[in-house]
Amino acid sequence: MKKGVLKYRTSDKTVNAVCACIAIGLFLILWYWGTAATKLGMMIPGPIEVLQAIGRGLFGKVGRHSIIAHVGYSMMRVMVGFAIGSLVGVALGLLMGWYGIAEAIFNPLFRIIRPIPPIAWIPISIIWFGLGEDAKIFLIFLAAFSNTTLNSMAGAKSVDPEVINAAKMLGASERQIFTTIVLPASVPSIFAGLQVAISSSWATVLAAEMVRSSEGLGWMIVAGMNNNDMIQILSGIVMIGIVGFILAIIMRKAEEVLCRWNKSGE
Amino acid sequence: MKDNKKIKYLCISILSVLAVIVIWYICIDVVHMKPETVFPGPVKVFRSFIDKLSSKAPDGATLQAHLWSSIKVALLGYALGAVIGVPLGIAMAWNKWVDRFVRPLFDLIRPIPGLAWIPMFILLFGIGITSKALVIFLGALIACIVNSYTGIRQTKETHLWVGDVFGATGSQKLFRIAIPTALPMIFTGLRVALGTSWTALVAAELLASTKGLGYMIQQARAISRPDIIIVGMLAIGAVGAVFDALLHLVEVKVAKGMNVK
Amino acid sequence: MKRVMAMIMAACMMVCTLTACGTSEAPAENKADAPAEATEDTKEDAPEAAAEDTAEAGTETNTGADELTPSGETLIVGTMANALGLPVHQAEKAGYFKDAGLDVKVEIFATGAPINEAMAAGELDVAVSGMASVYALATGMYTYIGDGVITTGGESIYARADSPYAQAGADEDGIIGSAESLKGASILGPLATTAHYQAIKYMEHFGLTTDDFSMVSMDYPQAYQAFVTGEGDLIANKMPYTNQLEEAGYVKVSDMSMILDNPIIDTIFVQNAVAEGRRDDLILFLECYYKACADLMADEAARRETAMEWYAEEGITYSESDMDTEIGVKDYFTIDTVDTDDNSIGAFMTDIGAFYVEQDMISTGDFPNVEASIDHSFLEAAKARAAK
Repeated sequence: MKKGVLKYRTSDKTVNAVCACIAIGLFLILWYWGTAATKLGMMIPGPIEVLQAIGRGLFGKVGRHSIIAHVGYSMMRVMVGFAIGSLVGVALGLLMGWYGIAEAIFNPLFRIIRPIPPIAWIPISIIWFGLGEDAKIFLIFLAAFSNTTLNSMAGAKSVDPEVINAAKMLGASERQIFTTIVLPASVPSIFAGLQVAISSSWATVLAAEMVRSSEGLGWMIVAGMNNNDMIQILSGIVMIGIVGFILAIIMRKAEEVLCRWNKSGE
Repeated sequence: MKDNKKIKYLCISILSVLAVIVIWYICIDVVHMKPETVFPGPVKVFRSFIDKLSSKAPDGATLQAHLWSSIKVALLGYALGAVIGVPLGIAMAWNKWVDRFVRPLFDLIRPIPGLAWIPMFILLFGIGITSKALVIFLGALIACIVNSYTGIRQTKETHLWVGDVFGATGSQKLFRIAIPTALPMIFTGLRVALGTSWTALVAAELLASTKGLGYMIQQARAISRPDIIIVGMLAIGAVGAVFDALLHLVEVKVAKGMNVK
Repeated sequence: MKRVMAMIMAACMMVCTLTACGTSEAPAENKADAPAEATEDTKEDAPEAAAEDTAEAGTETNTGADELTPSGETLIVGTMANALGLPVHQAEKAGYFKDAGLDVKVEIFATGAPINEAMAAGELDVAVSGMASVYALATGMYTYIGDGVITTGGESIYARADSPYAQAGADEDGIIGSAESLKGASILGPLATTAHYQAIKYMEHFGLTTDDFSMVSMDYPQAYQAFVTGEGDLIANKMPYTNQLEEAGYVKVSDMSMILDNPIIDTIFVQNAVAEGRRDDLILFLECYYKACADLMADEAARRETAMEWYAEEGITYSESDMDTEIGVKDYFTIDTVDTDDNSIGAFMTDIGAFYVEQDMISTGDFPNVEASIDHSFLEAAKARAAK
């Protein structure tokens, strides 16, 4: 139904790829020029230095581990936090979207907790969970949780009341309506929430690794900041960008496969 | 009948908040699960909150002063993000060449947290309000682009055909058909963006600040005052919730009759 | 086909989420409801720990002063990878802890504030930390058992040579600046640290209060970088950045030694429960610590080598000249020099605590906790053993 006019045909894919390469190429050239031709180069390393550093670190060593290992550590934290956060978020969101009482109970608390950024939770999470993995996972959980809750709630609320009335008339129980109508109808919205959640979970890895850590991409940036090592900071930034990009693509593909009938567009 | 239900739900909401506070009180002040100096109870937090309204100790400004300073930075970053993000999102959705060139960069930059940019921004823009606003800008920009983009993409093909039949030009089709269709989504984007701007605040204020809620939390961390940390967190939460509610009202007003949830 | 794909995907996701849940069930459970549930699991631990503590206290305090029996439990020590933590590293490297029968685990932090947080969370038994300790001690949850590194210099405020502050000329104390030029100035540096302390003292020297200048909150390295790129009016910093500022030709307008009559003395403090329950461990720990200090003071070349190697391991850039300055301005106590009549332990903490009470950063009600936390008995026991 939302099959827009503005969708590309498959043959456009090559054009897209070429354009993407050109755009990234242009950006790199701009960066190179900016650092090579102006006095910015004194402070900010150029793309070549950064890419070389990444190349060296990929299997070599940055701190105690290779960049690949850092990605692995960060990914593990993000995946655990995201999995728990989205499960809880989807469940709570659907509950709040469907049952008025659940909304009345949880919504005010949720509204207040949602705007509090993960970084502000760091001191409290250390008190609750200590300095280990739990505190880091908790911060990522928060990021994933609030996005999925919001979207699942919106999804459950947006179900066409006519359909529900029809089901009621046909004698469906509350529970049947929930499982056979509300749940499937919320799937696109849930997926949109998961998309946002995976991005923000991944973006929270830096805040999470500010809780004493000695590995992970966030650690690379934090350690770089503590040393004024711009090359290491930028390597970390570039890697977070690339991995985040890949994660987003994977989520988008998963959505395409699982909900062909209704693409959310993003 | 419906009003009755509303009142009932309102009561439940208030009760649930009260219940959390009571549980919190019991855990800390009655059972002493954690000492007050580690995790203060609601009474102490409330007292610190009242103190902070008039007292400048220990971080050099009252709560209102911090709040005002934070709101200024957040709104500046938000305004920038909205002004650039919405048109860019529309352009990306409407013109596939813009999409082709901007999107890959956008997708790469999107996952990078504002926090990570701080060292770069200090070098490029100094430690003034510009750098802080830019950290917030990035957050707001993404939400605006994503939602405007999605909104325009929802334009129905048949509507555009109708436009074609009546000989509408490209810009007429954009302004008369696509943008009105996308308006609810754009507004959602603006609302979400305000939320992210506010959330990015603490990160922004990690960067060389002398005032602000993020600064207050940071300072309280440094001198082991968890009560002030919690006051700061709750202030951020409450203000964020108020912002969200306000924009939701505007959203409903502006996009009346459209499919706003 | 489509359906099969979807099934497989769904199955994969299920497995993923299930395994994820399996690995970290504990945090998953207490998340949904904010403070209430999270504190619940600590309830069970608390009485147990207390019971253990009292049991140990009973058995161990009875042992004589010369025969110490390590408890065998791991002693978790939080410190920083700089001159302050060096004795801990040296003691570990030289195997002193092992020889004493202690199982010491060292956790490294960037600054004092997270050490305080970790102590508050109960993650650490012992903190070997800096001035930030005073805020922790004010809570009354800790016992101060020994003095750390002595700093006589290297903590300074710098200005640009062409700035009015630098050109104001020095007074009899050697402090450069003037009240007129400094009014409204911004100083870059981390909050609630010696840098912040010095900034306030420096301004006070010219009759200015905290309302007359702004302390721009930045960590040491970021402050250095921002100052070098032209931000801020003044910078309060420490080693190695002060050394780099000196080399780059900035003007030192104030040094901690000009402002303070006594040197800065770092701290060793422990959880009250550990102080009560694991007395012997702590006495042994202090012995090892001061033995390592004696090593560092005795052999400068070895100190340099150990330090440079360790800092590099911890990813800290430190040049030979930074190290020269460090050796010049940082001294260590030994078991003979620590806690003497003119140099009682914790004196610096009470001084600085009193100052922060004036600044409203520590409340008057909490201040007595700082003095009450100081406990000489551990060092007395260690000294008695050393004398034998």
